[in-house]
Amino acid sequence: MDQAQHNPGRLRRSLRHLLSTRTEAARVFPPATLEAIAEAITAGEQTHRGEVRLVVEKSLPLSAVWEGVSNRQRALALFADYGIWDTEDNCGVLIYVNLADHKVDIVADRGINRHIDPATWQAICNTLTAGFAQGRFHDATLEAIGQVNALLRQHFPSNGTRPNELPDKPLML
Amino acid sequence: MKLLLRLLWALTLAPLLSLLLAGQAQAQLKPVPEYTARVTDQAGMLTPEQRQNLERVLADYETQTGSQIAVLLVKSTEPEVIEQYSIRVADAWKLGRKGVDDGVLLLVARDNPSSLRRLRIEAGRGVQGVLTDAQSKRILQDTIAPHFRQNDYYGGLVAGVGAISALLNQEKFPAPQAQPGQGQAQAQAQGDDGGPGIVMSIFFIVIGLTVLRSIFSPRRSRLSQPGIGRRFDNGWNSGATGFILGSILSNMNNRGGGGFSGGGGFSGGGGFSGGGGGSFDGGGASGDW
Repeated sequence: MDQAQHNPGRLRRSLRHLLSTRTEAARVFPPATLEAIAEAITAGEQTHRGEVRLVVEKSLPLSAVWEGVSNRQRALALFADYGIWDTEDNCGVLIYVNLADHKVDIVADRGINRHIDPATWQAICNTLTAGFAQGRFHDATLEAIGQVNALLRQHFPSNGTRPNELPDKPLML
Repeated sequence: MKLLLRLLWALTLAPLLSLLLAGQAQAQLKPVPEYTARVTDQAGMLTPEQRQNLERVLADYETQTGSQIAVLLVKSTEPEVIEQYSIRVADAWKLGRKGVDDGVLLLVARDNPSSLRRLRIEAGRGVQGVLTDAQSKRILQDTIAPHFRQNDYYGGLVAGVGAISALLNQEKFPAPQAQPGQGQAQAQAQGDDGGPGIVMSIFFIVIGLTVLRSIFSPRRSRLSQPGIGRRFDNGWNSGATGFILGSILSNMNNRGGGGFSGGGGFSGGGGFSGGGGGSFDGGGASGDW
């Protein structure tokens, strides 16, 4: 209720989200990169039963910033909104990147979470954040998706053809 | 600033709300029947014998596994689409065990036009892992509908209930308690000595509080709600947890943020990135750059 007095970072965070632009987002994730990512996800899903989705968001709606929505909460909300939870084997993986907050969250569904421990996810997360810090958005993202594919191949190898349950194209919000 | 924001909210919400209420009063929604049996046949689709058979099957299943499956057959849900009506029924009946949320409602609206849809499976949050939307659709289309097309309602329902219970068996739920009456709805149906008056007034108080909160707390926007698939929630629970969770988070945020106030770094996020999703137990990781 009385967050206004207790949240000194809020104004600054609001400003950061206000100043984050689509142009900047398109500069770090140009169409060619998005295509390469989609191809990598499609190719990976031929070899395992997981469903990988990348969502890049330039900024949160201001109301969400004002309410103090964390990156994790936002990732979980998107996980729900885009139906990533609704896969046959509960094997959806969301990689959520927020450009304004400089934050990455990976959300893995229940089926996967039973087999893969948090440390492994953290390693993949670090691949992304370390790369982004150096401005290598293209390489770091593809590298991380390669790691996710390898991980899923190990625990959820493909058992023949299966429908593509979620779109492979990254989502720019 | 905060006050202004809140006032704006109230101003935008108030007309919307009154519109909604007026619309509902005019449209004359179909009432939700009281929960008295696991199989409720308002459309006369089953013979008394068939109804009892199905009832017995469901009762057996409930004592064996603890999960609660209910069947409701109505003539139509007009003017609502079947999904809206089924959510109202699910909210009122509160199927499944508290905390486990392993109730399933199979709803048939025999005379609905196809635009409002005739079949619906409403799954409690606890069973959505195995009874996904895709699975539900499959059961409705491939198991139940073929029987219904030949007017074999009983056969369709038996097959449908069989398919649902087979799916539920894939998930490990807590064992049923020795005492009967796990379902809240059952308890309500059995010991209704408080009379409908109390139930009704509680119902209205809950609605009133929910509405009040939605007006006065901007926190309850879609974005800030953690967790997924809260179809079975009655608003009060989710609101309360969201609110409590929110306050905890904001406190943590606050503690983390203090140290940063001078610098140009990130505001104190990080600290709570592990939290969030109410009942969601998925995995993952967080980080920043």
